[in-house]
Amino acid sequence: MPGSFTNYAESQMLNHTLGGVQWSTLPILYFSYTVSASGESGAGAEPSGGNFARVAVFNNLTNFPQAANGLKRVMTEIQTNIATANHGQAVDIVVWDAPAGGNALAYTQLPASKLVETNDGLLIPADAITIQAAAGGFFSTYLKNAWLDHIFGGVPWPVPSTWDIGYVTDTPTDSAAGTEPSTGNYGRLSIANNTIYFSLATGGQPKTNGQKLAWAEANGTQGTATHLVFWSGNNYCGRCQISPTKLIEATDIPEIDPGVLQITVD
Amino acid sequence: MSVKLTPVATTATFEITCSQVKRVRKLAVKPSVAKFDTNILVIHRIRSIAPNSITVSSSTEPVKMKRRRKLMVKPSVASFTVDCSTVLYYPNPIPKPEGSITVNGKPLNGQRLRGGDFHILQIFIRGHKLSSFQVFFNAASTSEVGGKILQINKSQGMGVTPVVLGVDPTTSEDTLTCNIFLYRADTAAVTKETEFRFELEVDDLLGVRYGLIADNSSFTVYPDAPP
Repeated sequence: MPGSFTNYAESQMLNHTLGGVQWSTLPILYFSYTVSASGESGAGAEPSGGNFARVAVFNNLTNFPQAANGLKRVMTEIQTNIATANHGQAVDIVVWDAPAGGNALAYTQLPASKLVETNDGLLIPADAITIQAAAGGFFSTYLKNAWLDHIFGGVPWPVPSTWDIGYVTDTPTDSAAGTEPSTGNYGRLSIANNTIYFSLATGGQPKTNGQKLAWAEANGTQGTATHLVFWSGNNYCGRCQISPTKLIEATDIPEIDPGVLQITVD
Repeated sequence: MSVKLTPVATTATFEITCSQVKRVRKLAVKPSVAKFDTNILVIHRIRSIAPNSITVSSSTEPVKMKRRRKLMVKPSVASFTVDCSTVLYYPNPIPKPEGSITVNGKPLNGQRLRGGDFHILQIFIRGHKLSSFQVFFNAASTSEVGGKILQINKSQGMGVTPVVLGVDPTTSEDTLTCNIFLYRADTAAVTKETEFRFELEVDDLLGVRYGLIADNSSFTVYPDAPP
């Protein structure tokens, strides 16, 4: 069964993206197996003793080549220590940010559980582990790849200092932001990327807007707004669906009340 | 005698006080829709700023009603999945397994099988951590020059659940049984009895081959039709 990022990693991604709280890249990632099930709230239990140790992997594009189309491959083999005692039934692989303790970042179930006894080790071949962003959702392909390279690859995705939020009159895709109005005094709303505008998210909770977002008053018909689109400079980063859609006409002031945005990383 | 009357200039002064001012603003609004046409609304604004004067003015400024358009947004999710397709035991080699082959419940060694038919062979392998193995059944003709080789591969543990009967509690070893079909790989009919030597080859998924675990046995395939 496929795994996921943990709530810790998901909150870090959300607060960095929307909130301006930087989550720095990690120079080394650590892999280990657990002998009880892991989940988004945290990793299962790791063996104690018997020569158990997490496997350190340099976090670079050699070991984690650049993501493409929302897919990241782990192109280095993960080879554990040889156990000097019975460790139990290994069930999951977990990725950590520290050689001991620290935070679990991601987990996945082994294709088959492995009984690790004395003189046993486990080896995960190169290209056996993948991290895949689901199609659709909030992140654009650009941002999916950026985050995959940031976490697995050590390529920093800088915290946006501002967000330019617009709305479109058709349907955006992962790769295309859609069509913004060209008339009627339309303009993107530029806001600071901080925790005032985007309240801090923790424990897998969604990200929301802490302030009202209000666009300029229209002085003509702009069309029917269907989605919000988020821009960081020239990079289309994400979208949210407006429901119900709204026709924006002259004298209209489009706005979103605090708490309306609900953005989650899962 | 006439008297000339000279009127004396007289001023009549009126004092008007205004103790209350009401401001009336008249708006023309369509029922249920806050929408205005291009006609200009007229507002009469009455304001009193001094006790001895009343100023009345009217304005024809256009009135615009701003409308705040509340946008509701659906929750949005960015999802990621992490997957692991293969995990192997390490180090290699894993202890060599034991095995045997039967056909129709009998040892394959010495059997005579009709050519052109499907024959179900059963391979029994007993070893430790069998999910790491690939099992190859090789058979080669001994009586033909450049004899035909029958080869059927059955892989276990390649990211799929291995066929494991269970764990022997006394030896902590795994056994597996897999059924494979034996048939001629080419379309040529068997025209004469042909003896095949066979062997079992087992290797793990890291390319280390264990070699043979079957005895150097043979079986015979006979023609399915008279020559």
